[in-house]
Amino acid sequence: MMLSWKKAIILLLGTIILFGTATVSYSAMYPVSDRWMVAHSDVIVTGKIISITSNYESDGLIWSYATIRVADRVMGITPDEVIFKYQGGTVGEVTMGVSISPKFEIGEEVLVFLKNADDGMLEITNWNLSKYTLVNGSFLENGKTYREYIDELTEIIKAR
Amino acid sequence: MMRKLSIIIAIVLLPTLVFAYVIGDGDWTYKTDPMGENIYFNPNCADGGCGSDEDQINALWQGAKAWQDWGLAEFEFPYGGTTTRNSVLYDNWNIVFFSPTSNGSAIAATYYWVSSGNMTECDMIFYDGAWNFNAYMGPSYNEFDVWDIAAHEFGHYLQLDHSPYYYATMYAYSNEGETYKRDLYSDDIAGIQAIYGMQDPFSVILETNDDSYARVFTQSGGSFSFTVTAYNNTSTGRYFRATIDLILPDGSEYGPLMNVNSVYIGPNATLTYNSTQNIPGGAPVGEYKYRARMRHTSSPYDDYDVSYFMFWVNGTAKGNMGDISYWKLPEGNFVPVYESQTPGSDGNVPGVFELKQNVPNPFNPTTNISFNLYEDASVTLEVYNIRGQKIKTLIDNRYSEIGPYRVVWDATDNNGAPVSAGVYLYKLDVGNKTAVKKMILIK
Repeated sequence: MMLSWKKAIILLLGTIILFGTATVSYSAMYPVSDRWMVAHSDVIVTGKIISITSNYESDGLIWSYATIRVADRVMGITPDEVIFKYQGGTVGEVTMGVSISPKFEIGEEVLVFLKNADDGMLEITNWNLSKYTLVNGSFLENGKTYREYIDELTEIIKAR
Repeated sequence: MMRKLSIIIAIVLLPTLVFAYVIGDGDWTYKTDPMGENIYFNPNCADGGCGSDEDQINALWQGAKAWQDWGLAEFEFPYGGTTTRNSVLYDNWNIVFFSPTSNGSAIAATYYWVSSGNMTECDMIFYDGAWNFNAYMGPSYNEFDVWDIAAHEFGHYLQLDHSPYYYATMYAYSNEGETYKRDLYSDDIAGIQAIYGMQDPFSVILETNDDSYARVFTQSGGSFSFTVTAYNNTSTGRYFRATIDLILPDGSEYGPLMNVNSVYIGPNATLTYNSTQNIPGGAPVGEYKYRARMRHTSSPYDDYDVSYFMFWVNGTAKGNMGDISYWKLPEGNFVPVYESQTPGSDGNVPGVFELKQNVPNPFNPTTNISFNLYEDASVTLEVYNIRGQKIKTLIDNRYSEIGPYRVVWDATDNNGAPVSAGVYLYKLDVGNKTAVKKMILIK
């Protein structure tokens, strides 16, 4: 079979995106619906992760605090930058990982489901299922385009 | 030009397309003992389907053994015993426990601590407040199988992340009633070998015969049966020294309880030994490490490989070991399963027959077993599990003429039931000559 240059490059890039970068992580999680995620969230926003810090907290675990510069407020009223927390992170030489906790990176564009924590902060709603990573206009986790998924979530929110 | 490009693309993509395992933040390879750290189980599942404490511990242990037995990589999980601890904190305890809480839609999670790339602690939590678990007789439609979930979480314990392959144990999602993650998929095996390396050329595994995780005795004594399985993963036959001894509760070495100076293991062959260990009455209270060693014959203090499990003696008296004769194992019980094996350098018998390695291997769901006969003879071809139990008779003492033969095994037993993933042996008897080879069934 002969491949054109264009097709070959598309094949190469497509496969690298599919297998090489999509390290999506949902360990031993029960798959829940978007409706469930909306019902259990107080805030849903999209935007870019601009900073992450990690600390030992009073519960003896390492928590990370990510700041997202908000692009779209899908649900909830928020300032332009939102800080939310999640378990896991690195302090000095020590890393605490949780198999079901998402990993965020500075510069990533994401959609996050957040809920109010007991300490007044925002935290991720449901572990790894709280994070959708935007790459080239679509979300890695469900393959939907940015607009398509935002519209679907908006419909669910309106119908509540 | 385009053809060259296609080849380059294929070469670049091939490793990615074949295996898609993801490795985590650290590993346990810095430990001198495989894995090095004991794991403790808290059998505190409150669900009716979890059965007894022993059922829970056994199901959890089976999840660990999925990796230990079928990962064919260089590690073992040392079981430490039971605990009542129930925390994921960094406290120098590796524990597995059930929590009466829920946490979103999480079924279970593994918390791990890594320092400079080295794993230093790992804890596993099952969210029993949210879900029904089953550790006894298999899950119903609304229960999660502890063995299945534990196999996935122990993959995290070893620092594998998720695989995109649905049939992989490390696939991300789980559902009620699911049990397929109990058996490793080829992607899981490739991942774990990428972290810990393949098993040594010569390796040994010591197991209790009831598949249990541990043995607990009183000072009135008792016994347990066990199996030692020795593997030669090379194409060269070798002599080794087989030794079984004890590490006593006070940390001192005791034995040997059995020592065979010169055991021959053929190329790519597996030998299995069975025996029963007596625990005499009045033995000291505490934790014993029961150890099988596959050692060099020329350098008897060096081990090719070591395998062990723990047992415990409970009681109030101080106790003593008594005469070692009470502990000694009868050497006569340590006989290779296939005594009649008389292999040549390649495991075959020159001028009589040639038994070939099965293709494909590892395999699923079928594999081809081929052999050549160089003289007319009665032929029997059988499949055994690693305990030496016959699983399937493929050719039953059939008189056959000179020529090539090929038999397909569909991974079923003599009743037609599918067998579980794992290592199997196929044995060809031609007249009074025998050869054995190993094959691996993956799911």
